[in-house]
Amino acid sequence: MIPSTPPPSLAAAPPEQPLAGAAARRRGAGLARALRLAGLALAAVAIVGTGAAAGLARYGGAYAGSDFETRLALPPGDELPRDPEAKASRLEQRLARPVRANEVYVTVDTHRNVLRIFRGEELLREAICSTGSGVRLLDPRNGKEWIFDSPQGELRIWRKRRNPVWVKPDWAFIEEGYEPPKGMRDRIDDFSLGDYALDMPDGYIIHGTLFQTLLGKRVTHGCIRLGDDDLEFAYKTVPVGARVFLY
Amino acid sequence: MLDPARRTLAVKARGLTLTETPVRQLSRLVFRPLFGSGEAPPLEAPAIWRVVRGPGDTDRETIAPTTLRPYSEEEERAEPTPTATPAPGAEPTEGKPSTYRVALDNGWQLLITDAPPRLGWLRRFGASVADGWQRLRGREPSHPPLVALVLAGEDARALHHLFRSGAAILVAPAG
Repeated sequence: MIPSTPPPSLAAAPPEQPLAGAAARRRGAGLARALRLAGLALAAVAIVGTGAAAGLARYGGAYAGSDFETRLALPPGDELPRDPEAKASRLEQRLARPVRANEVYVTVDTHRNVLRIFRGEELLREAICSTGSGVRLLDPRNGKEWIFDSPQGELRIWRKRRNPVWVKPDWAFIEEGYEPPKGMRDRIDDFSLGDYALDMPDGYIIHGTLFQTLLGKRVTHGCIRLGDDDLEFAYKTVPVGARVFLY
Repeated sequence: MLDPARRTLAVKARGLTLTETPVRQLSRLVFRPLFGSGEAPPLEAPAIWRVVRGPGDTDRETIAPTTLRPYSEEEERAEPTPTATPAPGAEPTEGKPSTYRVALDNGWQLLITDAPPRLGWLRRFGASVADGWQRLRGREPSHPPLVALVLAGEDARALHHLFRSGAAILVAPAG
């Protein structure tokens, strides 16, 4: 007699399991194939990319560093002074004694906004000041340009004034959005410069300010502004003709 | 004055040293092919280099009113005037960069920076690729030779405004 039911080992297995296993194996194989392909593609991209990069790198260039060296440059022999060492020594002495021992002079550090007054090597006063803003102003009517830098280099005080009056130039109005007035009356300002003014060439002035809170900042139109006490000290100490070194 | 032997950059006037800045590192940077050699053109000293264009010329705020109204004395007088006590100290570093370039009249540029230039092989390779790509696209990037001065950040900012066109830099021999 033949049994009508399959053996227990076969009967226990659900009929779907062999199909699911095969599907999983197929999925695994597919994933592995995809990974292989991706790897190959990445390798190809890397090879091509590296080759292209190497090609571009060969085509281009880059900065390379080396020590700072100089070649001594002297004029031709016939242009050399007869006694170059003596001339060099004289020049060195001139450079080493630029100001007389008791000469009063002024330095202005336009980065740190500090004005110093010296007599020879003695520091007489150090004061916080305001210096040029560096702003560029454009006149909308004709494109004229003003740059509000404090000058650099060496200037001299050529005049000192008490209760100075300022004749406002065009930029003082344009900066505020006004048309410069035609008449002189509107340009006269007898209070903005403070009690004293020390004039330098080209309209640059060491003067006082109404804007004490802005001392120590770069806010001016090129002039050097000082607080009241420092300005009075400068007026009384710095003579006409004194050098002003601005840097 | 740039003194390579003493490694200093000084602002001088009539023999007075107004300020002096130590130079941490001084080098020449020359653009050349990655897989080749290139010689830097010689620098002669003593020499005077003049600034053709520097950050003191270009890094500026611009005020450009579009229209002007008639002047009014009453309107101007109405504006308040602050008169408080002076600020206790200077405010030196506002808004100035610590890395910038200065074009010189001898065709070189000064690179003022607060960090040594990074010139490792990988970085140079990347720069070469970028440069090659620019050239492939028909552009000819300009790469002037550089004198790189590594300064402290505050020192670099302090000198920023001094590099204006016309400024003279006396260069002493390197020794």
